[in-house]
Amino acid sequence: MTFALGPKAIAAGYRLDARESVGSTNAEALAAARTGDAGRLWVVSDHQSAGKGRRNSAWQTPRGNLAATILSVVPVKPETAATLGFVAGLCLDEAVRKVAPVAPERLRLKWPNDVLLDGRKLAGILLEAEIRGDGRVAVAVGIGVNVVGAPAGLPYPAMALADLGIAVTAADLFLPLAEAWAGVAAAWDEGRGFPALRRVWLERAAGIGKPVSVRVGRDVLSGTFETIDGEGRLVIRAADGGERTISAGEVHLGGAATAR
Amino acid sequence: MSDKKPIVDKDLIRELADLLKETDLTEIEIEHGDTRIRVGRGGAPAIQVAAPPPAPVAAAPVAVAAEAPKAAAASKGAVNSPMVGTAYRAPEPGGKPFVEVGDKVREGQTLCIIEAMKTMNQIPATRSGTVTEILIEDGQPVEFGEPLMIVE
Repeated sequence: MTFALGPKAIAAGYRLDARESVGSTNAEALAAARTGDAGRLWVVSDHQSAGKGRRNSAWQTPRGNLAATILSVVPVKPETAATLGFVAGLCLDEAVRKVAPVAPERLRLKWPNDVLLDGRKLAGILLEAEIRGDGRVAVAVGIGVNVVGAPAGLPYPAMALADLGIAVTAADLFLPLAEAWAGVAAAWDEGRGFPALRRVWLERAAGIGKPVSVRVGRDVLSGTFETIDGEGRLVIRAADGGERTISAGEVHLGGAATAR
Repeated sequence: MSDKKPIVDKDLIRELADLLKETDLTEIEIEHGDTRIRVGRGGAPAIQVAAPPPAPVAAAPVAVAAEAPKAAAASKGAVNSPMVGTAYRAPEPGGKPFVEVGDKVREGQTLCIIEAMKTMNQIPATRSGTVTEILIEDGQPVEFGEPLMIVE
């Protein structure tokens, strides 16, 4: 395992903190921010023992999978910082295409920021943000990729690159990921570039124009996945013709989805 | 002034202000020729006039501004939501809440989480004190500026 940054990332001032093993790359990145790190820091490992998903669900990173967090400290509003999740999804999509010879249509982005391969979850992204008193937001963009193995017994279908017979390492995948981030984050431009990235994201999104149901708290909203709005929120056309905009929830693509 | 249309049509603004009161809307914006006029309540400035440059914005606030905004009657120690999202009182479903009423908190301590776009935003106490009121339930959708807790 030798993680490294490529020339674009280095030129843009990114730094690398690669670990043999780590509790949580997000937790380490946020800890660095609290002690004054100004961002552009990657915390990376191919073994994470206390990884977390949404709402503290366990995210397993057995040895060989990729756990990477990019720390950004940005002078933007929290809802703008949240659009970094779309930056991460686009970069991951790009990185996977670089190392894995899969047909473009097999790889899709699921709102807000999972990566699906053949409709199964290949990677998950979780952002954790701390709103600081100085008008900046410290955002840990955590990226977990099933490289050598996907956990069993999940409530959703998952897969790993190795399941396709693709023999790459976490470090092989990390290099193009960090290179892509250097470019796409620059295009994001503290949120000013999001409208253009949104259009690219929509082209690679799963389930546009198809049935979707979203669990929001105790409610389940169902309808047709119309688009995402200028802030990245999910826009659903309900059966009654009304439009709903959703900023957080558990998304199930496909008509048969039910809440769990 | 003689060969130019007045940039601010006071009658029109008054009309809009009345309409605003009638409809109980927070804001009305209209295009009038090449001038855009927005009349709102509850925040300064009460009236904004966007006109082709140069745009002297000198309209005196009309009565609308005097209407006390109900929602903004925030108590001094209120911690408001910085964004639209879903509020969580605990790190995981059914978990121990970050804080309870009566807890002493220090500035910067996490009070709750607001989720939007799978971003977990930790909401810090803006000052040290005691949590006297919690205004959200776990998993509740919140609006921008909505009071979450009172820390006094």
